[in-house]
Amino acid sequence: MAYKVLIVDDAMFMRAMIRDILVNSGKYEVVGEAANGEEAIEKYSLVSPDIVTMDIVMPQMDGIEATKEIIKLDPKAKIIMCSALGQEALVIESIAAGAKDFIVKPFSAEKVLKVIDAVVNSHQ
Amino acid sequence: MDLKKYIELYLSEGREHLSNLTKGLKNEENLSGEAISSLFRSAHSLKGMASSMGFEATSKVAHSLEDLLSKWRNGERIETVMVERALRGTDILESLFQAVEKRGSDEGFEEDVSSWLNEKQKSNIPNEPLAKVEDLKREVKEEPLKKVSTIKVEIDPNSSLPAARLLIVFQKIKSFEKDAEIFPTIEEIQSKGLKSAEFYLQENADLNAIGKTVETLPEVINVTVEKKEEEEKGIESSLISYLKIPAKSLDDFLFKITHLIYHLNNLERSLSKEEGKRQKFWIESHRSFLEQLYNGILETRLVPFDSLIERCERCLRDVSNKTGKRVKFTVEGKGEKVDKVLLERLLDPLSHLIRNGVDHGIESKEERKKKGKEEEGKIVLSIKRDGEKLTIAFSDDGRGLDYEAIKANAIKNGLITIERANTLSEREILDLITLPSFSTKKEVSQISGRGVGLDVVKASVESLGGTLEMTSEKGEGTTFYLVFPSAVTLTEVLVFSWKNKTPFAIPTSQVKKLYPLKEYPVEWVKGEKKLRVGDGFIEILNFRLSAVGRDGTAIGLNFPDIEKVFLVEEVFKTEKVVILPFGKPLERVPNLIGGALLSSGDIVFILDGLSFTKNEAEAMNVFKAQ
Repeated sequence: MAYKVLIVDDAMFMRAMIRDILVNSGKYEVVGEAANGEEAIEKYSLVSPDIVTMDIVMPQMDGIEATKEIIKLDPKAKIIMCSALGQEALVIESIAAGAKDFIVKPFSAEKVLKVIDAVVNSHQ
Repeated sequence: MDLKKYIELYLSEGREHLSNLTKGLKNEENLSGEAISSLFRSAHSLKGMASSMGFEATSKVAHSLEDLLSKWRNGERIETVMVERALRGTDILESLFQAVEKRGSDEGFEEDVSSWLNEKQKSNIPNEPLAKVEDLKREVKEEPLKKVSTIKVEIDPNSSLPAARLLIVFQKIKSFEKDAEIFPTIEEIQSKGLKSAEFYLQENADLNAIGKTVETLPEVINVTVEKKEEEEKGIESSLISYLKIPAKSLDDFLFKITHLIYHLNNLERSLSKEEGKRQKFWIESHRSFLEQLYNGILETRLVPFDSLIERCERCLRDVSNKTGKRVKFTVEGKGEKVDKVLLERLLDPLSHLIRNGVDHGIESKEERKKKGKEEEGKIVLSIKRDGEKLTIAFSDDGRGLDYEAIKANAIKNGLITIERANTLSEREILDLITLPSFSTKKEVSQISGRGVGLDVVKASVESLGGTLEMTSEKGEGTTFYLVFPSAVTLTEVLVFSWKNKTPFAIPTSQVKKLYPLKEYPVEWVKGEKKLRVGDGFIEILNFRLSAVGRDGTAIGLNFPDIEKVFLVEEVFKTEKVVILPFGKPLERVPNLIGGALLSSGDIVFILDGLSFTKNEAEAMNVFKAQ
């Protein structure tokens, strides 16, 4: 049974990359995509994913805000931040806000899967 | 990963962002708020996409633009010369995109890119902002006095965000032990680019399980687990400080909060009844927050009692070795938390008591055998918190005090007359040996089993706002009680007065019931005044009875096994106050817990119901002075 993932990133390009990594592993199914924080919250309620990959810098509402809002809706939400280099402070803020883990661009399929697997299997 | 299939997507989306940047920069006059944010996001996205594709040159240029836009976003002045430079940057990006389109790579423009990047060196390269999360500041605590178990975690040096990774490790460890601490702070780890940290846990934490779980986390390369170290190292060297605050700063905050509470009470009083009702919610919640703040600060100063114990044990070993007496030391209530300042100043009096107890109190092995006691002496240190008081009891099972010998010595030294000596209560006899003029070593160690220092102990305890009491059984042992008021919370007190109107108070926790004398009359029973309650009577404590008329009230005391009341003239109200123990220059007064400031501006003395039920005679003396 594949785990359901919601991919959030304003760059179609990045969403495509992450989608491919997840689908190729055979363990994950992409049930939704969003291009900004607001869409992310809407989609979350619609598709109830097991995991969310969340970009940080996005128009309308950024990833940290969206993380906070989603966790308010569902305190058990498992959100993984996707960050570019030079954003350590924002990543730390996200974790403090409730994100479970993070991955850094550029992505390596191996690292991405390792992190997502760990979060999915943890029972925090 | 095969990146070729993404090239088309990269190019189309990348060019969109580039176009956005170029248009925006060309429109310099309209560069403001949302426009800059949008450009920032474009540069950011470009950076991300380029680095994901391995296009380093593109990524570097985009990163530089992103930094510039970030500065503008934070309010820095937008200089035309910088806008021009940025536009040249977009030109370079266009060339790089074309290269990717033609050749699938952005190589070959190193010189152009370097020289453009170097132009930027004139301005400061911004440091990464530090995480501004208030939550994380909670890690910064007063140094734990107790050495704890340590888990040291190292992160892969190739990790791009080691501080964030260590934070995740920290969250994981906290899910096992919520009081775990991290060293150094996340802020420091981030600013110094550290790749490892230490985590401190309670000694009974399941280190192996936690260690194994942490090992499986991503980017963790090494986990070392260390259990609590030997005491020989000494407490000082095992301390790692997080934050050193002079205790005085906290005192200052506490004092200010007390004033806030006082002002709040005044504010409340000055409102009309209706207004008061309307504002009740806000006033109450205001008060509640002040209390929480007050207690919160006090809690930062609380440390577990057992940090003192190691020092005590060392002192004990020392004396044991010197005197050749074996003593078993037990501690009860070591989990109790005590104010740090108090704890540190307790070391002296306790050390004194330990030395005296072993040296003079506990008999030699032979003597003990003869008496039928176990060869090993016993010393028990116990700490108990009971409402407004903190009681530290120190007892030994040694010789005990010889009251007759003490009395004799006092007479000999001219401290008391023979007649007076015969009327002394146990308490007063013991008081004698704490007089400075009494404790001369030679005589006392032969006679009373106690040596120099009791006056010093008494003085130390009293300087901390406490009292020293003791009981003893000749041949069986002695117990010392160090009793401290805990000026730690807002305590609710009942304010009352006698006929002269000076307000006094008693903690409401000590009051069982109020009996207005009009409904519960005072009657003579067998020569004593008693309070009639229904079919029975309650004993009335004998003091200040003359200062109470027929409209007075009897206050019933709430202690186990004590069924007594005392009479007062007028009962005013209850109020929550901060009880302050008397310090210098006021003398320590027996039977009073401390003083407090009422909202009315009056200073009241807070009675300790328990001690004046036990010491009625003394209570008489106290109140005569009023």
